Amino acid sequence: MKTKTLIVIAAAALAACSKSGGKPGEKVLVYGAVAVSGSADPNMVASVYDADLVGLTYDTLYEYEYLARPFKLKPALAAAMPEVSKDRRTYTIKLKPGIFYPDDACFKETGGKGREFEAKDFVHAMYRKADPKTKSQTWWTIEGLIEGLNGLRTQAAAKPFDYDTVIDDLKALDRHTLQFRLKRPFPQIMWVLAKESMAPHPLECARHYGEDFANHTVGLGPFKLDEWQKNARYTLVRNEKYREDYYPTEGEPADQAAGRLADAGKRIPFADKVVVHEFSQMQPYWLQFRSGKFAFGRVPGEFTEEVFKLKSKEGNKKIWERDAKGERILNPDYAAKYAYYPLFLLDFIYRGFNFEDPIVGGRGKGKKLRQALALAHDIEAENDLFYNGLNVIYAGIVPPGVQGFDPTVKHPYRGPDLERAKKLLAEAGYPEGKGLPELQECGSEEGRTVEQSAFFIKNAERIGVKIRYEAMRFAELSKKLKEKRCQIMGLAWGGDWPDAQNFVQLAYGPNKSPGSNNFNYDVPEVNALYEQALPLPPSKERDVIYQKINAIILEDQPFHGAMARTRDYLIPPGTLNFKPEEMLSNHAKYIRLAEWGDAK
Amino acid sequence: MLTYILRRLAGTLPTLLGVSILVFVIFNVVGDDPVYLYLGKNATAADVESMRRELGLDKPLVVQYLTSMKQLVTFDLGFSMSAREPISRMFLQGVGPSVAVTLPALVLYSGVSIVLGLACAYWRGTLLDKLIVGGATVGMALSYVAVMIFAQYFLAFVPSQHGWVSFPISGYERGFPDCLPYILLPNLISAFVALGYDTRFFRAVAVEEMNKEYVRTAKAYGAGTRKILFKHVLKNILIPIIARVVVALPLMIAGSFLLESFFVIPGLGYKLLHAIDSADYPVIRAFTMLIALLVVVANALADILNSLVDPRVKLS
Repeated sequence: MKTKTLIVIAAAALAACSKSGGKPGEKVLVYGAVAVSGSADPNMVASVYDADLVGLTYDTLYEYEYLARPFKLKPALAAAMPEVSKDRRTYTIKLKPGIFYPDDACFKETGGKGREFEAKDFVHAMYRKADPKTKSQTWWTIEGLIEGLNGLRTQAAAKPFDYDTVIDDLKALDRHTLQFRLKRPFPQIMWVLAKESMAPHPLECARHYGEDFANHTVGLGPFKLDEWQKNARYTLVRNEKYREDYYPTEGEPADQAAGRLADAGKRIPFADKVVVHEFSQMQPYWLQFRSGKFAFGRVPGEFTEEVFKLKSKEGNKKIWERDAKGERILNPDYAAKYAYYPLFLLDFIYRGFNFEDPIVGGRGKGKKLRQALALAHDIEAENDLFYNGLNVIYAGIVPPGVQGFDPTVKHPYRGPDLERAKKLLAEAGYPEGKGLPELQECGSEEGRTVEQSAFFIKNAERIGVKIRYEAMRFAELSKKLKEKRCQIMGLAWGGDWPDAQNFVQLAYGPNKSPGSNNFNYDVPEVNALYEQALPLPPSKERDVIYQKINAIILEDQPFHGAMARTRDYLIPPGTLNFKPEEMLSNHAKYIRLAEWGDAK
Repeated sequence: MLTYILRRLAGTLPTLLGVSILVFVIFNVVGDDPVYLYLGKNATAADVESMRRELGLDKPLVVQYLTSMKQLVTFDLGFSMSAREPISRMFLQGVGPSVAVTLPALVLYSGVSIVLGLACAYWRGTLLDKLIVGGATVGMALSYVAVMIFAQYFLAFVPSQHGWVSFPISGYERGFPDCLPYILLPNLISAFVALGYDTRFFRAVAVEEMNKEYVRTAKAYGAGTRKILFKHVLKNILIPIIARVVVALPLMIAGSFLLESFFVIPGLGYKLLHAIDSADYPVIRAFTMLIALLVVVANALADILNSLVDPRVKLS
């Protein structure tokens, strides 16, 4: 009898676990993330996973049009697109009135009732970035753009930052009008304004919570943070004070075909509650998705063969079956349950060479050495071995998917071509590697990165070049890069905004370490071209300049590559309106489930 | 007893001091620079310098160590650099889940392995003994990770695909009984993995005890199997049992990071794993000291329990 009772209790306990915890009738959206977020403070956004959380709990002046490709922006907290002065430096932005923060204990003056959002909140949010005491992770997004702000930051090194200071370059003209003046024309500022980290927030709340503001959201986004099990799960609930927001009425033809316009014009968000499970291991993520717990999923690399039809395998090269559009085909088990959506990322995966290094750097012997190493390496095989052949390999620094990319450009040193590589190595003064000291490559200690480097090192050995790999954690790698202590570095750059400038700036001399130009490439001709293109919006004129830069870079070979990843998304038929895109972080407000149930 | 406890606690100080110096050297002398971790990839040289000053990393190592110790003894643990939350809160929130996925397993596998060990010893050389020893050896040969992956797939995922009642694949709910479904499978895995080791250990201890003369005498007097095993033998092997079981607990609590990571249980081990991955020195320092303290306390507890079960053991 006792045993029976225990079995019944255990079964009931297990059965209870399939419930999401939502109240009856509550619309709960559940999905998973393949890494964890650390901070919900817009000032401290340090990863895309932080951005995902901030993007749902805070709002920005402008946001991406959900379905539009190429990307377009539209007003969010702003009432309209900005008025831009003739010299393209002064931006005046009218804000939507009557938008209120959610109630929170930090609003002492109103007894905890959320006050109205005002232009000063944006100013203060930028001040927080500029204040060195906050150790902002996102200061770089506006550093050098607004002169007065940099001045305030410099002053704050000696005395506490004065948040009451008013500067001409960034000010609230009235409660609902904002104005800032750029140091020089920078059309990409609009993309910057749409970044989650640029979300305005109440200064009094940031002060009230101090460092713990990272765990308390007081934002204008569609959801509020309800519960956070750090490294495991966060739960968001609908922000009842969220502004009027509607599902888009326009999209691509594919959106119409996929039914993503069926909810056009409807009030969003659809969900009452969003539960995001965070994972450090791929197996539980994948099993949770396959068991139907998540509204959508991303195929982890190790499960690719399980999901897609493989036509044949030639060594490490996998030949995938493809449909008329050239997309891979799901295996029958998966095709019966999911729609497939491949997402091409705006990525720049590369292996860089320290341009200031006496051996691998410069435009003399070092240049020939870099060219020889590029020819010795087999990037196609690297793609097959480590990315299931799914990465897009491209020539130069501008990735596919942004204006300025030219698919006709051929890489002049694409390997493997060992004969040519050996010849160039000899011209560099190291015939068969003789006289060349062992080179050093820095990179992450993550397994796949180490193996990728081993493959590169093996290829280099074929022409007599010896390289040792130094695997290290992020903090040490970051330090070594900033101190220019790496000869070769295996790195990746994920686009911050969908504009070629965000990639070309990686080759701009003044951005070299400790800036984003980790290979410390500094060529006056390239710098001049970059500066010439900087004030230009995406245009034919700018494309021509970027192509000139690309050609110089391809000849100089300060990096090998490049590759851009493809993410494979699987979407169950009951998940409506989901259009994967990693430039956006607020998908959850657009998603509707055909059946909102406990199991979802 | 009180004097003993106080003296024992005082005796832990050199151990804790040694651990603190070791951790400090590992993370401050040969380890990663936490400033780069905290400021991220876009930090400027000025930011780095400013934060180094703020964290006192520009001061001599001795000063840094003393400051760090002062923070520890005054419970000014500060903020985690990676998780961005107070370390004391990380402790408080992590202890419950960690205990929930380890303590029941410890009780379960200890109880079962003691019984199996005693049975093997009593029926030594029989088919039963061989089967249990063989099973234990197989259990020991299986990798912990393999057992986790297998159990998660076949005991949680596969039944869910058929609509059967199953264990949750991952996750955790705070509070009892909400946590119950989530801790069942992790506990079973822990118990399964440890069962082989402990069964063999307790069998060896019990076999030695079974060869003692008093057992033969008890058998000669016609004492029953149950009485010999559980009244006489078990009582006499309690000291190694206590030593093994009690000392295992703190290591299990802090060392279950793989289990917590696979089952996404926000316990101490999972938090420590993230901290190590991120070179989050303040968290590692605090957690390491906690583990050291728990080990020392567990050892003292084992001594006290030993004195209670064996009058020959004096706490002087």
